[in-house]
Amino acid sequence: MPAVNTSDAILLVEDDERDVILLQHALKEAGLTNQLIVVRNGLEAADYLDGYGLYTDRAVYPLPRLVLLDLNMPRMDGFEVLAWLYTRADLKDLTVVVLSGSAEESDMHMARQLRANDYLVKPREAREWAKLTERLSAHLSKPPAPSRKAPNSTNQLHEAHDG
Amino acid sequence: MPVSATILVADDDENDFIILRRAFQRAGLSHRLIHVRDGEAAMDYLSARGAYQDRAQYPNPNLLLLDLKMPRVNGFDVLAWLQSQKELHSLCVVVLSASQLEADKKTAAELGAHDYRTKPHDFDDLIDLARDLDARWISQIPGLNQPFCPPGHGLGNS
Repeated sequence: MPAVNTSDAILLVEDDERDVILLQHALKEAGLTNQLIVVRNGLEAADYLDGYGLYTDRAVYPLPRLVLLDLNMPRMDGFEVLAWLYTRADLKDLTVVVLSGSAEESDMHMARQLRANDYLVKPREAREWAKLTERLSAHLSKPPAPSRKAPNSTNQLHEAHDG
Repeated sequence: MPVSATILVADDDENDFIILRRAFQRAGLSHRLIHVRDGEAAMDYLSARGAYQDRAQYPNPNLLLLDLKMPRVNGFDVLAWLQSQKELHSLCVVVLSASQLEADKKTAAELGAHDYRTKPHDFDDLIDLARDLDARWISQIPGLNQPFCPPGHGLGNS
């Protein structure tokens, strides 16, 4: 499979317009000029990352450098997106950061199990957004994350059968 | 041509302010929204005291959007103070609060608030609210140089 061009874009998967606005504002304040692409639920995110449906043109809809993923969304939630990504070896270089209103340990644990690269809780205070953008900035300046290696799907099947 | 007004927003939650400012933009309104974090700063601003002495930078607002729950000096305190400020009697004051309590609405009306609006959670509703505030309290202002609240409107008259 030929290497796909990765842009510096951030794909935000978020159904709440208020959080979209706050993130846009925080990125601007932090001087992060990465293109911000917004999709509204997990299904749209999967379509986007697959280059499927509306999103076939990679010149217009480039593969993002980083995915910011809300958890609680209609149609396909964040965990389902993580589980789907887990099976996709071709997207293993993608950095996936959960951005959720939930600070529940069980949600964080589940996200880690599903190989999210990081888990950030949505800030309640405006000034906390600055810390959040620092973390994002650190992720964006790193080489593509090695920790998100998806297992070879064939091996996984074998293991499943063996076990 | 739409008028550009100055709106002073007293709210301790900066997130709410950022979202409100965006809602006005999305409603196609070019008003300047200025943020103060508590009632004390609102009073300083309105009296051109302290950090707010420069009226070129901090013009007299055409509308005050006032949160109720704020640290130090809350919204009710600001309303009470406004009643004692003769030169600010024509300032339009709309309470914008998360509280849906009838008691809060009643107190705000008694203290001279012109209107009381509950903060909507849905962003589209907030855009509608921005449009409505503009139509009701800003588009009617005959000259934007002076604060002027159209008579015959609002809570105080109902």
